[in-house]
Amino acid sequence: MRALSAAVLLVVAAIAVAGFVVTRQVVHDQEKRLLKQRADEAGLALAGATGSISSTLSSLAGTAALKNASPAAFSALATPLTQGKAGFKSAALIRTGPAPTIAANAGRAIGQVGSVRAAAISQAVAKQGLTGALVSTPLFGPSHDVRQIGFAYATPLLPGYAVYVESDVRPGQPTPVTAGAPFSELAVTVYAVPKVQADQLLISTASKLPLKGDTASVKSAFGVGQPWLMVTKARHPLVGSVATATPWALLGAGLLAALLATAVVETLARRREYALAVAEARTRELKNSLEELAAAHEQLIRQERLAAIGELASTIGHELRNPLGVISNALYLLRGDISKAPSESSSRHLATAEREVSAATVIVSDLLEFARQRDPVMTDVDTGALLDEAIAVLPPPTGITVERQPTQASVVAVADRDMLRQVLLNLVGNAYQAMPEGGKVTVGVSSAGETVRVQVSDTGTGMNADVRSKLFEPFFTTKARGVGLGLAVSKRIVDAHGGTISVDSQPGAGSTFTVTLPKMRVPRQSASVEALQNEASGAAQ
Amino acid sequence: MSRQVLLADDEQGMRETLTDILSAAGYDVTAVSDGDEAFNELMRGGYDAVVMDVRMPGRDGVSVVVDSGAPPPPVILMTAYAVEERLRVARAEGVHAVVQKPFAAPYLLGLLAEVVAA
Repeated sequence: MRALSAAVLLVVAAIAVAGFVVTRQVVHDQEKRLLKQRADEAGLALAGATGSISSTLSSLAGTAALKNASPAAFSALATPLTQGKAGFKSAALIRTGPAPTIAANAGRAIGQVGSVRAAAISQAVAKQGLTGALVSTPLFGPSHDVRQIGFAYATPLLPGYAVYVESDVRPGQPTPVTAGAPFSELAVTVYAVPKVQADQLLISTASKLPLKGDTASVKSAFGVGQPWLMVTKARHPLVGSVATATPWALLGAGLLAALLATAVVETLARRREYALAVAEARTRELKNSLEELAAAHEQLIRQERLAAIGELASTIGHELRNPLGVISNALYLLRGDISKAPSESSSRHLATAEREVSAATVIVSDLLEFARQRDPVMTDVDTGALLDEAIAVLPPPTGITVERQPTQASVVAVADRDMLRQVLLNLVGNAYQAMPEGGKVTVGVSSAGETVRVQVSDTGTGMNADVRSKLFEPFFTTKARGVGLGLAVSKRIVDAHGGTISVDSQPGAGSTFTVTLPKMRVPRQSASVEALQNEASGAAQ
Repeated sequence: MSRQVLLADDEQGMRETLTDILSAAGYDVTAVSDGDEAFNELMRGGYDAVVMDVRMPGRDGVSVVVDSGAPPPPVILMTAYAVEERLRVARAEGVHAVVQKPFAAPYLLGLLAEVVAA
């Protein structure tokens, strides 16, 4: 993925997440506000219920006062309260004082007042004022499953007495909720004290207690005693499922948009890169083509130049052969004259002249062979006789002896006589030049299976590996004089005959050149001037 | 009686040195400087061997051999040029040897001794 695409993905995704967080917060706030509102309404409803208890007990107390606090009349009045929908289990007329006592009972009889009931009764009496006061007890009782709560009411209309009713509460059993009933959307718990206290749980419409998470609490005054605490929690989001889902929908849409934007950016970037790559490849191809064209043009010019040089070399070479021949003859005649009156220095000078004419002869022949455009004309050639001819044409200089290894019978190869003669002249001439201090050249031909082998060895300076590796390249020479064509021409000729040419040499240990030629005719290769010139231009690069 | 050799070469230096070399070797040399002369001499007869350049004014060495008809005396051709086509014709005509210029004099003398003795 490109950096740009990653940046687009990050930015758009961050916007989506931020939108999600903000929207969710707004919805959450709205939810809390709604819950608080509903909790307040529930608190009012609870206060209504409290008011109903207060008016029931006020009415009971008023009637009891009219009957002069007669126990029998109270029992008759209160008994319906313990049996009807009011839900009280017990009712009692209490004679107040430092130690309250029971004057009359209705419903389930209360045995004795006890400290909890007495505290509530005393508080109601103490705070009755001019209009009466209602006080509830905390939850109490011996059992954990069924607890009791009592309500004491005192009024100036019934002096010396208080009215007391008591209900059973089963905090372990959640109050069933009817769907559609008021506040059915809320889980509600009411504690008989102003704080969350498990043993004071009065009512619950939830099974898991205490309520946790987003809750709303309302303290509801109950008479003149301590207030009750109502804790509510929404069963389902009050803001509705659409509002709840909105942040998530926004987040999903945002992330989707991020992915789409990234895909678009990525696609465009890739397309652009591809276009650039294609353009670059085309440019490179074009450049390569131009370079190839330039190289081909240069090669053509070089070939034309080489061809022109070859033509010139050919003309000059041919023209030089006659004068060289005349000089050679003259030297021969001089040699004869000197032999009549021998002189050491004249003989030495003559030998030098003869050697140089031989060298010039070989150079001219190499130039002509290099420039000549012809393929070998194969005939049967007696290689031994040709070797003898080469030595006769190129007699050894003073200080060098030639040893011709004897041959049993004539060794015949299929070859171009003139070309092969040139190879032998080169090998013999090179051998002479490798021994400036004198030495011995050993030459011989032999038959080995289907091939003819010609060997020329010298006891000269030898060659290292570097020289050996370049030996057959055109224009390579180790001599101060010479154009470096002899062995290159020789190799082309031998190759054109389907033969091989190799050298075995070590510095200071002399050299042995070996040429092998097939006895039978082989498919010929071209030894044309073009091939040689290509080789020469390749070597020159 | 010494052997009669016809020498034909248009190069004066070559003609003179070869005349001296062959004479010194005991041959009786008649030297001519062009192909037509050589042809005329050859037609007159009496030669034991011919040593002749290939490229000469008038007839070239090969034409001299071809025109003279069979059986000519043994012929040794000398050439400074690689004119393969002409040399092939010459060999087909039974020329004894083709010698590439420049050559060592003893080599030519060896060849000549060979043909004269035959």
